[in-house]
Amino acid sequence: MINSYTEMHDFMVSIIGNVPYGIIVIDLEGYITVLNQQAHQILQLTNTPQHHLETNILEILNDIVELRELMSTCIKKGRITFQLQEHPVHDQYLTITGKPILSGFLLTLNNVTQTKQAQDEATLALLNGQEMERRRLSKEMHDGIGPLMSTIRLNLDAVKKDLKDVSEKTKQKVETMSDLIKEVANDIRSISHALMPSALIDFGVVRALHNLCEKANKSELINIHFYHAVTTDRLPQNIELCLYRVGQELLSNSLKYAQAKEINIQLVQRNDKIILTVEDDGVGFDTFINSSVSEGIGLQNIYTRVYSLNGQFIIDSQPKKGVHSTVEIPL
Amino acid sequence: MIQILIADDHEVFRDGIASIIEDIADIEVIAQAENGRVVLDILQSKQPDVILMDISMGDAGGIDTTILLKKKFPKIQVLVLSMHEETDYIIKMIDAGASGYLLKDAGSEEVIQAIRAVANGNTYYSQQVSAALIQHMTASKNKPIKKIDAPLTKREIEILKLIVEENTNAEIAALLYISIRTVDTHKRNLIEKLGVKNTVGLVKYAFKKGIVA
Repeated sequence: MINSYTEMHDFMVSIIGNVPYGIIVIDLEGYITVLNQQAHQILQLTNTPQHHLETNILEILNDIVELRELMSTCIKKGRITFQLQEHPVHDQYLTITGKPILSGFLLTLNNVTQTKQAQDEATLALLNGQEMERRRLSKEMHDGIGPLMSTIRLNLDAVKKDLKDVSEKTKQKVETMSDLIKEVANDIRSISHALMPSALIDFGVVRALHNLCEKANKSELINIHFYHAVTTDRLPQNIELCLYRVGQELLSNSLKYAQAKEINIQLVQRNDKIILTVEDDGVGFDTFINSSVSEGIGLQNIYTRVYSLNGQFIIDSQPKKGVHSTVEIPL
Repeated sequence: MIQILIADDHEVFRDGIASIIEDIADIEVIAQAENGRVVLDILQSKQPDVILMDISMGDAGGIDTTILLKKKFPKIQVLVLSMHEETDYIIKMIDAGASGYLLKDAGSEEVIQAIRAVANGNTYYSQQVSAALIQHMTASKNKPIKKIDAPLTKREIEILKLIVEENTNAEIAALLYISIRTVDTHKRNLIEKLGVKNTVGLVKYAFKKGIVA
């Protein structure tokens, strides 16, 4: 039984000190009133936890830009509930939740690095397997079934010449067959291309992205611009594949959801880095509130692909402000 | 009589072509090859007038083979017959010295017409190939040659203006509702794109180009 205020206090302190995640409580002005050992450790603070009591939360969040911005908004404009999922902080992944409480604000910091790494590895294995399969299928269609279809058509052409004494109706049927075969051959070619464009393998990511934009420009009413400043002729194969797939995914998102008038795709190389940006001027979405949107629509796969190459992926959007995505991969 | 060699890694396809040509009086198939190495071997003993050349044939593909054989036998005409419709392949093959390019879904009559054309020293590109080439030429005309001519996106111009107005990255981020890291990327992209060294260079550029008054 807890009988006194002191006992209650000790009881609470012992809970806060022993939960498996970091807890920070601040008052309405942002001054820290509680900071447990776990939070201290996760944020890699140098002074003792006690030392940080009574200091402003913003002072200890200098290198966690997003969280700092969120906290600053909470203090200045009013408290909101939020969750930052698997947010990269000091070589760890943290899931951070913020919640208004009685005359203050509660932050919990959960270190999900291990779970995240296991998930990433699984997703990456899946993606790699998918790419291998796509490459195999694409090659088989392009180099196997495609030429076979062409051969069938050639043979049919040869037969056509021998059909002098048959009815007009039969001739018509043969003509239809020939047209259908051509159509199937075209379909095979475009499916094979969608699976794995041979230009990506033979000529690299710049040409492949260029072709992708050119093709989309032809079929869509949107203006798509592709600009590149890549100084190296070819980049490592895994980086090229990643950049292509990410560009493809982001472009297709913009085409599908944004109702944009213009899409800009840029690929810029700087000595030690390659940077892909995809911007549209469409309807956008609220990354602030709606982290489920940024988790969905294939973006998780982009994160996984990019992080597996030690890169960074940032997506910025606001309603009516378009979507701006940036991918940076070290070379 | 036009003598031809068919180079393709698919036997059925080679046979298909050969069976069509069988009926044509003025064309004769003198050899078949499953890859570029075999082509070069055959050329040691006999030279056709025209080679029907596939592009993807394992590691001895059509592009390299054409470059090599054109050096040694400039009179042999190369007519590409490929599944590849992308301009990159078309241009690579033309650069390598091919005088014609057909997609594999061409009808037999077109193949024969093309063989005759290149054998007579003319070029032959199927309609689809010509369209791709023309589009490529008009597109490359509009392509920026120098870095400095690279068009800036709306967002980049927006950011450039805010830089000139002496806003910090954080201020720009707040104004445009984007993260500071994105502002930084845009800024560095601008520096790279415009071929300047730093923010001062960006400001100078903005004034010079009249982006800001």
